[in-house]
Amino acid sequence: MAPLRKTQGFCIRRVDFSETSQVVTFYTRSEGLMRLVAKGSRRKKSATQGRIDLFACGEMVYIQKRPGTLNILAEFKPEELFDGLRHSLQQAYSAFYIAALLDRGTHEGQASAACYDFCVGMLETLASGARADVSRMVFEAHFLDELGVVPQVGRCVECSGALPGRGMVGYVVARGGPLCRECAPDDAWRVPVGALGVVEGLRRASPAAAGRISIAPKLRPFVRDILTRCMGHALELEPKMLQYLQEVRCD
Amino acid sequence: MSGYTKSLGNLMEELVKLPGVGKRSAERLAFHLLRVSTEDAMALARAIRDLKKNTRLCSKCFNIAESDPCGICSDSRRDRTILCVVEQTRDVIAIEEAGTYSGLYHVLQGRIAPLEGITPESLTISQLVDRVKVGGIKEVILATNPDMEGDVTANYIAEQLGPAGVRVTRPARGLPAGSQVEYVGKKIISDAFEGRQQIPPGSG
Repeated sequence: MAPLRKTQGFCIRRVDFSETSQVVTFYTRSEGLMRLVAKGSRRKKSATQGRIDLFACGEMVYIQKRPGTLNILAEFKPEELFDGLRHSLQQAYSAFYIAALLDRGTHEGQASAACYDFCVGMLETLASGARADVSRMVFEAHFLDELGVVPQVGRCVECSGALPGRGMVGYVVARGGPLCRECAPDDAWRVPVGALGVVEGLRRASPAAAGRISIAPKLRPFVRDILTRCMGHALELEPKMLQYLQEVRCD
Repeated sequence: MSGYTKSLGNLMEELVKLPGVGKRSAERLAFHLLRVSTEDAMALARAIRDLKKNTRLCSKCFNIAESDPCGICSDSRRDRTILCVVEQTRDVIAIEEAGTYSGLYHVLQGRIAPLEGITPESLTISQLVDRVKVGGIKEVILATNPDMEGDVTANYIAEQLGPAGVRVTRPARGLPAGSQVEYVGKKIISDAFEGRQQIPPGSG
């Protein structure tokens, strides 16, 4: 018999599979992304305490099946539902965006307890009503770091030469970040050095601090653009969710 | 579909497009239709044709109907001051079967679910706001599902309806009849306690 395992996780996607069951995707602390069948979860008296809601977070017990087959969710006790996300479209969209990035940018079995804890912290921050736009940027900077593509600060990515302390520098996402005057091609996109410092600050910020960060208005569009371009490059597309976020004027 | 006659293969190709129908099921259904009488098979074909030909969306409430306005919108016995907003037609059927609501409906044709590409603009929210602005409606009941996407949709609509000055409500949530306290979740219990009601004296 396949072993029963236990971990912490939160739901990032769900599809009603039959009259009584759901196929759910969880982001878990010990296994990373995990897709499972929640048999009978749509029944009133189920071991998952009813239909599993998006972002419901708690301890889950599952039967691990062989690779390539869906695991079976045996038990799930939601401990946190992040109710505050429901009260504003901006908070909810930001949480959906986190879910979309996790679904797109991580793989089954690629576990990171630190990333899991950061995501839960971020959902708590968003649910508490913190500014959605800055909170989202903090998450993006952290997630880019997780993906290994966080922009380098202070040094040219080509020659490791020091960058100027102020002014504009060339930036080529495909080459990994900022370039000094000698290495940057003439047609390189140019960003203020200060914007790179802000991205670094966002990367180092904790989820709890996200709501207290303020970004100088003149640097803000550059910071937004750096994160969007890096994310698009890392995930090989511009996240569809960013388009929705712009529609609800989060930025 | 090789090995089958052209007609049988065509039918199977169409059946396999239905949700939950795989190749084996399509084959079983196709052979069943081959066996039944011509009359029965034609009745099915007519039913599908009539469904597609006669069914449309009501231009007022966006419920499926065979006439415009639909039977509910044109029923003079319904309370025209209350509007119940639901995600889909099946919710209208469920509420009608319960038999306690006598107002009008507005079907959103979904709920805000950006992960599936469904934004407020994909739904009939602007038509709802226009409908309320026309006047005559005193209360809007937001009966979207009590889950993350349903709540986000309800809160968004409530915000949009704010300037109209109508009473906006949400159906009560809590313990479902027939359930057991030990099996229901923390959230359901907390909702039930927040929405508790007094038992009138002498009702026992």
